[in-house]
Amino acid sequence: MEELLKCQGLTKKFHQSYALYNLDFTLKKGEIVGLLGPSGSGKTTLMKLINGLSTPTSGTILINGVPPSSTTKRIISYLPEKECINENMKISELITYFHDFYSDFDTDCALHMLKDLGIDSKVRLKTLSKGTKEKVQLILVMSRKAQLYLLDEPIGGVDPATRDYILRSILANYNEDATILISTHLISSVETILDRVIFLSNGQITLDAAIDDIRTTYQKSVNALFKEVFQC
Amino acid sequence: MLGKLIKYDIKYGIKIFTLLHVMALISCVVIRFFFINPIDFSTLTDAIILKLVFLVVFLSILFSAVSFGTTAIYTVRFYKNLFSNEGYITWTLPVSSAQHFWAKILSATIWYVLDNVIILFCSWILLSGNNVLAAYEKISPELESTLGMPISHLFWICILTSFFGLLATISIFYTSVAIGQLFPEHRILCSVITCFVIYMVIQILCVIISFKHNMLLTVNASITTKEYLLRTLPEISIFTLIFSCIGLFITYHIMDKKLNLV
Repeated sequence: MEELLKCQGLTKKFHQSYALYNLDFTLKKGEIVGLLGPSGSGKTTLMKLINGLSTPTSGTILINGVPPSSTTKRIISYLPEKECINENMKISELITYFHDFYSDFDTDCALHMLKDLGIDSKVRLKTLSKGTKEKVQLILVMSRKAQLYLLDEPIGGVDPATRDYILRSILANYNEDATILISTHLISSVETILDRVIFLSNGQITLDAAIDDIRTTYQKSVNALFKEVFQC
Repeated sequence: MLGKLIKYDIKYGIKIFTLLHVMALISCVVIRFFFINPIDFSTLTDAIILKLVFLVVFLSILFSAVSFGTTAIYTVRFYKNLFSNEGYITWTLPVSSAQHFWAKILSATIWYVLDNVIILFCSWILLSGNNVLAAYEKISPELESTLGMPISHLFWICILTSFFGLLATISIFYTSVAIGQLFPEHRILCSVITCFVIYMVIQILCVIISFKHNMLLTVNASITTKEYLLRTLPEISIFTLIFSCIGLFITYHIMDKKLNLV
């Protein structure tokens, strides 16, 4: 499989502590990769660096051979961990906004998913519940035909039924040639859809392996292995 | 992409901008027809003079508030759109940091120019009455003698200096916000402190320039406004231009190389 993302010696330092230290890994096209680790392990920092929302202290990130720039942003669809959309906007205005800036945004797909969830596109975001806002954000992200999807905690903080819908939406709407990097600490929910996992602990990779290899080598599920590796 | 960014910047503030300026326009129309038009400038009494003083004070506050509101629109937009949680969406658009930078400069320019045009129009509403024009006719020789130039020349000097004012205002506020982002734990506090420091530096430099031209320590009643402007304006304008360019360069550098969204 062709390489899409490559990180070499990636380090991010905040004051005196390292959020990420000397990370080396690659993502290939078509993979669904779980970025797993406890809170504070560096998952969000890594996502931000790939998106150019933060600058590395050292090391390189290449997406299709190019450092993060407006060129790479055309092919990356990012779901941040936090709510980041202007809440005074109507959902229809948000759809227009994404359509205006992203040539790969599928408006019909977005409207279809909103209809599935019974969300009125004419309402303002601030009138919606937290879970519904997260669904809207996810719909906007998954309505793009991107090459790399970066989903930061897409299922944290929502009910189990919504969690299932989000995971089904991810699988139903993503292009099979595209790569998905999902960061989460709810491993049991995502394990079944992953091809590979990366364990991140204190800013360093402690495990980078295919799901099947983990089950063969360790004779246990990823969730069980995660609990064992990161037990308090 | 630049046009789209500007479009959304303008959409963001259009309601508040319209509200502020409609209120200003309505106030000026009311003041013109209910307070200014009835005044007979040929028989000024103390009561009328007092009323005029209050009017001038009120209008100064009104126009300052409207201009401040306009400045707040594009400064808050700059901060929220680029450096708050909204930045997670903005900075992941397929747009370069240069385009983001120029979009914010150009949208602020549009707001500033619109604001000044509307305030000029408000001033015309207030001063275009026949009684005001007749009173001006009587005092214009003395006024032009004090100014050292026709009032139309002063008007064009104000238009020219407002260009430097635009650059300085955008630079001060944008640079303050950008520098504040370098301190993630105290972004707003550091932005405010930076703004305060920049203003202090500007004021000190303006005092030095005035002092250099002997405009500060003595009240020089023999010189006209024109002479005063000709002595101080070129230096202050060049200084403003250089300072603004440095500030905007710093702002762009932070946006391009030092972005660190929290």
